[in-house]
Amino acid sequence: MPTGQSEGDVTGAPVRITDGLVDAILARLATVPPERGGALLAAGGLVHLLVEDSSARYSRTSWDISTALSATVGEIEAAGHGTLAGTVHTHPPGVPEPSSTDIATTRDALGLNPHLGELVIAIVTEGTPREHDLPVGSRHRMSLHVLRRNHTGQPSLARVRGAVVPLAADLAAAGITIASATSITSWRRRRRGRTARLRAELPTVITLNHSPRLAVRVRSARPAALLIHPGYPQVGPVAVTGRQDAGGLAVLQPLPSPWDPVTEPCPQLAALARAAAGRRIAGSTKRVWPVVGALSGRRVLIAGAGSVGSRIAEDLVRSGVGAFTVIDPDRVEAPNLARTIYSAADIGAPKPDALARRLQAIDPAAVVDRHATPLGTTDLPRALAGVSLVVAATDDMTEQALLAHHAYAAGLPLVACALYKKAAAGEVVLSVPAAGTACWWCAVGAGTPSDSYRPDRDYGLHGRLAGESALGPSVHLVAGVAASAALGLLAGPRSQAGRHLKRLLSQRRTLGLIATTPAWGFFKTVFAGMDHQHAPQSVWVRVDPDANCPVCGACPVPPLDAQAGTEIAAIISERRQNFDHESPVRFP
Amino acid sequence: MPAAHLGPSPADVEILRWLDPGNAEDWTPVFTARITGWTFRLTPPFSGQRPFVFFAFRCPSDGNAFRIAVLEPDMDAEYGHARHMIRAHVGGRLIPVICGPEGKPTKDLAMVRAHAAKWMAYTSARMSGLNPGFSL
Repeated sequence: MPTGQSEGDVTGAPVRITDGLVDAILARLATVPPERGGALLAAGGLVHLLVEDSSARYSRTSWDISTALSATVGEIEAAGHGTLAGTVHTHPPGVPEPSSTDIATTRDALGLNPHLGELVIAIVTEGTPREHDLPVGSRHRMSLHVLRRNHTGQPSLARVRGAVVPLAADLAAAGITIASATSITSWRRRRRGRTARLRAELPTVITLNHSPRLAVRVRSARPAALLIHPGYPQVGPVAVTGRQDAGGLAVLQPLPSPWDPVTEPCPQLAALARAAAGRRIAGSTKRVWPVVGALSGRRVLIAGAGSVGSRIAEDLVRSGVGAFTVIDPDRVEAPNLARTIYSAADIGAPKPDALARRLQAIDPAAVVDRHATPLGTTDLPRALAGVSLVVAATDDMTEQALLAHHAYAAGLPLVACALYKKAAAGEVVLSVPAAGTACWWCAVGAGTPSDSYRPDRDYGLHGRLAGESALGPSVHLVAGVAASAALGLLAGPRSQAGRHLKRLLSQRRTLGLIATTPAWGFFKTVFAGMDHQHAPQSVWVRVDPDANCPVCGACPVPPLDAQAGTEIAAIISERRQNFDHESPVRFP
Repeated sequence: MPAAHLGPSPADVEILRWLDPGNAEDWTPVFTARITGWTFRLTPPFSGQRPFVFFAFRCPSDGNAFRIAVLEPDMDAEYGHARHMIRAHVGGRLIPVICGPEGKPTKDLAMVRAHAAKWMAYTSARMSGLNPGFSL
């Protein structure tokens, strides 16, 4: 028993050791006679890696630490796999405490490493674990001691408890392996020939939000890892993927990583691993495949991520649509919770970010490009590149018109959806240039009956429609029709989902009016005498292109692009500057 | 696809023919490869003020309707509030325009003139320190 340390004295926080490291100590040290030893490395407060001293001289009662161990630990530290935390070695049966030589050697090591505040001395012996020991396998125990600098800088020894963190087992259950040991021999052999492979095998310590985390690779076609917090499992990992920035440097891209510390960690780890790998859950689209076929290669632009747009996006991702471009300048607010797919945790987040989280929680493989900008300031030609379908679900009819114009000019099909006053009814517009349908403007633009059904415009919101009191189910009824049409257009006329649209498009019945309340508007005339009818009801109205329409007419005009905006601003600016304030205004 | 603006449309010219036969308001076409519009000036109702000058340009996405920007006097800051002027996104830029009914663009030049005249009457009265009696 070392001086100043009695059998019952246990101080300080426990040393947290991964289960994988305990297993490695058992396999590499405890069960290999005579004495065996190595260095321990940690990430933050989590001891996770054994560097076995395979170059040492061992006797039945001693471990003569090799000089190579110090050098190798330095190399492994420099490679980012952890920081020296102490040593571990075996003792003969009946000697469970560190010897005076162990303490002296560790004191020397602490002196040589002034940046370290303490070093652990772990002693493994055969025998039944005592109260403060950690069990190592079924026949061994490990006592833990810390040589810690006191306030005068002098090291003093204290016995500490150990706590095993079930990281390797949890990761294994989620299909992820973590290396918990290496040796001088392995490190040197691999360093000579296969450095990259070795580095890939050992977890790396990465600092995220000022906290070191253990990066564990996830097998994937793309760079993917889980960043394990030293406080695991109370603090959850962060799923990350990698990308290259403009300069070609690798940049970590953290992904939404929900974690509930009071529920089973393994399914959560598996979900995070899927998120990091961008892996869809096998069979998730099995029941919609016969209806829509494969949609993973399709990209849909969602303009407006409110009650309508977010619902449609969720239906699309659940049906297998693989990529989205989401445009919305707003943040999630409390009233949104009543009618959208957002949750309390999303309050304050930009809607595109919150929607991306939701879509990727459903399908980790979903790609979501986010634009938290007004539609009018978005580079729409660029945003529309590579898009298969446009969903217009904004509360700004001017922007809705602008998007519809851009989509028509680009030859892209569009589904537009909007609710009428109090969500008593709503509209779904199908615009398919390839089918020669009318554009959005001809169907529901200013001057059409639909324009008068809409909520009032709010000048305070620059002409956006004012929010109306209405139930979520009423909104979702109309949004569901739009989502169904969107899937039909994506799947094509030969699909089960698209078959019914074929007739509508050929007859140019591209304006769907969906009443969520009985006897809405002119429906009471259309359905007069049909007492068996009730809400919801729909009427699909024929819309013919207006020959003079600048969007779908005989002489189409392109939308005002960025250059046009610049020209108009310049005209205003120049002509204001050039006014002759003394004489009557004249223009050339 | 490039626009094929060939100058003032016959419909615009027809409206101007009866709206301002002598072109006393100096209606002048403005057209480039991308923009079609008109500048014009109106005489304010209160004396001592210079003519008000406007620039109306077509927005093809809004059914080819007009947005109206005020060139003179430059009151963007003073009247740049919701009820009298709004900022409309035009080609990705925010352009201050007169707020017509419900903030919508204006269908033809007759309506352009009507909205511009109303805005001028309001602003002219305010500039003279008077209560315009409407759109307060």
